[in-house]
Amino acid sequence: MIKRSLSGLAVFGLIGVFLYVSAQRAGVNFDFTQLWPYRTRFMMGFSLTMQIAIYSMLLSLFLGTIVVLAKRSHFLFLNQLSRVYVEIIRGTPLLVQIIFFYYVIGTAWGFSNRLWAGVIILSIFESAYISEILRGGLNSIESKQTEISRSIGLSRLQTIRLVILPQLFIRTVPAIAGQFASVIKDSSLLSMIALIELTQVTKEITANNFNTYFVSYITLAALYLSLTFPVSLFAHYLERINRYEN
Amino acid sequence: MRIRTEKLSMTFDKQIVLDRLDLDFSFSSLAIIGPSGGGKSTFLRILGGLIKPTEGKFALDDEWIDQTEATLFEYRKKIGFVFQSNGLFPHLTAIKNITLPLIHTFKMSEEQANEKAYELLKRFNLMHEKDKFPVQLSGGQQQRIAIIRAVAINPKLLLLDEPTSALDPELSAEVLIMLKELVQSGMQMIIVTHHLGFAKNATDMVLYMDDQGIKEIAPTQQFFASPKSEDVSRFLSKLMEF
Repeated sequence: MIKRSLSGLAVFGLIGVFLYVSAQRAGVNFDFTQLWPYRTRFMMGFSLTMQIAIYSMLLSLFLGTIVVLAKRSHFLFLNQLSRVYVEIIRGTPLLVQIIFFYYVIGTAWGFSNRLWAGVIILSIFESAYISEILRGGLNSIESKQTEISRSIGLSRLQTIRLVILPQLFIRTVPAIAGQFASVIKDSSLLSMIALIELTQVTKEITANNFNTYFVSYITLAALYLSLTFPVSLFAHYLERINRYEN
Repeated sequence: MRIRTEKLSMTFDKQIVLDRLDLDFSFSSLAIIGPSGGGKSTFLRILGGLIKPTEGKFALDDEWIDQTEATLFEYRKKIGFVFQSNGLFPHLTAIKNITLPLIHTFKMSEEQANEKAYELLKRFNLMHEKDKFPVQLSGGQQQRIAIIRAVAINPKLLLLDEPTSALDPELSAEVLIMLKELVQSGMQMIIVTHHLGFAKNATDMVLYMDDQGIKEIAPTQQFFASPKSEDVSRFLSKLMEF
């Protein structure tokens, strides 16, 4: 325990010293107190980012499930549609997707609610990755598990509920959590459509007051970390209590 | 138990595995032996209602089984099936593996199901293993838990597909001892096996099949003492040699 704490201290100490010395050499202003007047704006941005992240996690998990089901479907049209979807979404930058979906598709169909537009665009992007995680998880569950379920008289629905989903959950939690951390960080690109989330707030503050440039972005990073770190801790926790493989 | 088949056939991608079998035989414990790739597993899976034959049908005692999913779904509840290996659910402990069908297929309460499971775990000396996950069990223990799960539902017939082929001799023995005890207590079973010794000592009928079909079905003593088919003699002498 003591050894772990000391070692942890050394890790953070080393990183801290390196960053501090680098900042000194580059002549960066390290006065965080000058951000105090902007605290309300930071809080509002933080709160909006949190909302976007939570809605997008839920929606992307839902969309990802639909995409993976479509991909496994025997209906050729759905199968091809989901494959094209995954390839295009994963193969193009999120930045381009945001601009395209918001300014072209959104404008064409009269959709102008920025928050929901942002959530939907981000979810479309992340769901392509989530569907691939789920697909990998499903493939790793042997088809034999289905046959065993049949042999003990379970129905298809019972098989999914009692056998497939619990195993899928355990196997995909780490990767899904990693993707959720990406959802949080990727939401920063939604500042492109003038959604006043955390990154946009920072951009606005630093635009008016260049002195705060570095401290603002360091604060921004710390705030994102305060969102992604609990996700990662929670994933470790789920992994630990559900472990059944050595 | 009496089993009858009528033109029972199975084809995988043009490859004929079972070719219009017309059988009628009775047994209380039957061993299916023969070289690998002879269709033994396929035959067993059809009898277990796990796969549908491409043609034909079969009957258990006086009941002909319709080869429709609805009938097979009900039929499977009366049959216990044990796979070659990895037949347990990895995310559930031994006890949960055993009670899953009792609770979810047979709608027992959790207490009733546990009681039933404990009774069998005690009988086969596996009580200490009840809260372990399959990865924490030896191969032999895994198979014995799988057998307990299959017999806990009081099946009309227990089917075992080479239950010891993935185990070393010592672990095989502990599984076979358990099966012998089940036979002696009146459990009707069909076992696909390479253990001629087990077939000889624990079953009352033996069926030999290879890729050309079923060559012989006979009472165990007669089967080993004076096999009628030359293929069977050759197969037996080959195995006796080593």
